[in-house]
Amino acid sequence: MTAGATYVPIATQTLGSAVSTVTFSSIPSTYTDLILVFTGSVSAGTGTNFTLNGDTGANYSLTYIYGSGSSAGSGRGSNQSNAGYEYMPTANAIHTNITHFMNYANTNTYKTILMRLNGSTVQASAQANLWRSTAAITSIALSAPSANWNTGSQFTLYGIAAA
Amino acid sequence: MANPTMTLIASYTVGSGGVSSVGFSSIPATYTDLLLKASIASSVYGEWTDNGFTLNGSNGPDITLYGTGSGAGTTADSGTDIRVQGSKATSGTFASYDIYIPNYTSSNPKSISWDGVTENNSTTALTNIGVSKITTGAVTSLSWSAGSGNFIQYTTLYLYGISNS
Repeated sequence: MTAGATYVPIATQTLGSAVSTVTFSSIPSTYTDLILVFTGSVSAGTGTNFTLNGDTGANYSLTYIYGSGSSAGSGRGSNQSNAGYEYMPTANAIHTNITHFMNYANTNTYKTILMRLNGSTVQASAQANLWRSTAAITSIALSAPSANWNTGSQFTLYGIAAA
Repeated sequence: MANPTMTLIASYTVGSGGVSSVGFSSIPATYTDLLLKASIASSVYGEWTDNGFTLNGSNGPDITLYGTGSGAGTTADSGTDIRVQGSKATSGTFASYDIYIPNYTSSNPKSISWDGVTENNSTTALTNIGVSKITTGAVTSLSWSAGSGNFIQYTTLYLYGISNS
């Protein structure tokens, strides 16, 4: 049984070698929302991030809540030059991230991004990002500064169509 | 464009009398990710189903972040503890859970995540998110045990496969 036109795979990248940046480009505007699913690890502890449409201006902000098992808290950042992604402080530790890009092709609104971050031995976390741009999202570049995404890490971008 | 994908693999509904565990076996390896949607309740109040969720019979360390309406907290355990609603708290209420298992056919350890609510019109309600690392090979079975109680009648589980091609 299929549940309607949901979770249409747009592109997937399973890394055959370690790289510092993974990019999805030429994203079609034919869906309502995007979902990016990641599972994998990095070669050294780092805070990963992503940019949209190559924008490195101070147009990103975020608010997050987390639980580490011993403490719970919340934080935020404004006027960032990239969007915060998975916090990965330990080399080779497996993480999962599920990110929803809401109304990504709407050219009248800024883009809200909802994220579930899952560092399996680090924290359970939820995050909201904002990209202050009315451009349709056509590319996503995910970076692991001062590290690499490890071989075998998998990124899949899905399109979610309106019902 | 690839075909739409979110395919129901199997479903299960608990009958009268309840059962001590629910789950699925012989999960096909034809998808990329698994998504389990559960409406679930235990006969035991505030059941945490300690070590109760397994993949291929294995569980692992977990971290949970929760809010009760009066505060937020976090817990860490050694074995995939997922809280479900106790039917003794409010009859007829069931916890709702989404449990996501990415890249489930991989030989690598699995980092699974869940989003759940146990709202029951009382102060014992709980909204929580969690993550667990389970070291196992390709996932062919999953099981959720009720710990000291039973999963009660009308508990339902739907297992979906999501494909990236």
